[in-house]
Amino acid sequence: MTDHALTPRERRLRRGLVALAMACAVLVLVVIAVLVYWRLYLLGPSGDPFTRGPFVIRLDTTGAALAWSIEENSKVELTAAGPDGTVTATGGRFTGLRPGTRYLWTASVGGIGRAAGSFRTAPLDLRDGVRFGVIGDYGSGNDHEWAVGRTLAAARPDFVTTAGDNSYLVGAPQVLDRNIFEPLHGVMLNAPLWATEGEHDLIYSGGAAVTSALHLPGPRGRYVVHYGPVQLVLLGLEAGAPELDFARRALAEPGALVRFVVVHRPIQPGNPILPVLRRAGVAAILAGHLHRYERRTVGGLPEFTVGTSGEGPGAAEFTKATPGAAVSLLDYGSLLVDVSSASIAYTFVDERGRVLDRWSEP
Amino acid sequence: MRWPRIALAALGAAATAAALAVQPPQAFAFTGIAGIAAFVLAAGCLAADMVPYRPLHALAAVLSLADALLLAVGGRALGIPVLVPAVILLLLQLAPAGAKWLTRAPRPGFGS
Repeated sequence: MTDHALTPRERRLRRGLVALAMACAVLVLVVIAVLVYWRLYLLGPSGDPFTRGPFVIRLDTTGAALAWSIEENSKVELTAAGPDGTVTATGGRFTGLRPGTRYLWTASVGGIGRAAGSFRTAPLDLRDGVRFGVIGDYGSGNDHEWAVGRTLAAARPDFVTTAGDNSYLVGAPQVLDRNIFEPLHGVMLNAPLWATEGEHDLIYSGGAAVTSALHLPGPRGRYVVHYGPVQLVLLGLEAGAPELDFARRALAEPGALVRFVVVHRPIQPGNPILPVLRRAGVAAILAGHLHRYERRTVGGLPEFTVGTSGEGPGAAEFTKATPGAAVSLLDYGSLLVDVSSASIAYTFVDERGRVLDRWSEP
Repeated sequence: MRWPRIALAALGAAATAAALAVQPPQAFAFTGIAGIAAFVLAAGCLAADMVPYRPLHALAAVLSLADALLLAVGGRALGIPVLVPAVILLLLQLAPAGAKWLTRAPRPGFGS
């Protein structure tokens, strides 16, 4: 059968079929083009395999450790790039690092880098200085906490210590991502968070959830950490009789050039721990609890209250300025402490990045 | 030979010339456009070969459809040089006529 054998009606039918087929082909091509464009240029990257972290939990002069949670049982490869090349972690732990050196770490899953940050190993002395951040009463997950987290991350502290009340209203496991790990994500990529614990942390399982989630070295926010020549003695909720013994032992440890005491409730004049701290040469007391930023002198020691890192002042009658405080502010912010061999400088930076208080001690 | 098949053959020849004359990746601009146009024409060709139904031509049209896609992506789907689908597109349009010529009946007056 040839074309000439077709009737005029069959020819029209064939022309219609050809046109329809070509139109369908164009449609198919358009669909393919849209799908390919969507896949290549509009579709976002696959989701974050980490449900928490990775975040830095330990730093010393030659080692560092990171922790994370991951949904699937995926293998995480952790590497750090430094002046000697690439170092691979075992079980989340880097060893054999150089003191006082910044390393860029990357966590890869399935051969793709999924998270990265950096840390600076603890120096052997204070020639290059140490910078750390202080926050307190922050764990509310609100805009102010996120803002404080951003400014603190930008300051690139070597580590951060908290004066407690890390999670409101309670330190329950279900809210720790919202209250701690998400707002402070940028901070925790680069610096360990050494937290003491306040009432809101301790009310739930005695603070065990916060201790476990942050991989803290001791329970109830009471432990000692060293970052090279800097020693932090974290007392927990308050400086009572048990804490006095603990502090006495901790401050007798040799090796530290500069010591700080961190406690949730500010130490008041007349507390028997004050002479102990003074004799041990403690540089400053870092506290929270009162939702203000305050700088004052207690028993001959500088005491900083950093209680405005997120939760906010609340009712005015419960957030009164402490009599005798040199500075007392209600602004949200964090305290930066720069320790060098010559001096210790304290800078309170608010959530908008403004310096509201600066003080240094030779 | 109908006009869609003639156009397909012309596209095949143009794509072959482009694949030979132009270095990749510049060649992909020509072969990609040729592949897209060939895909549309091959669909029309297939429809035309259904009325009346001509199995050999229809098979060539179906193969041309697949080949046009390969040409459009520069042969990368199979990891082959783009010249291969370009040449195949040309040959597929000549194949029905060639097969017809090979299987033609002997002319009267010749032979034994």
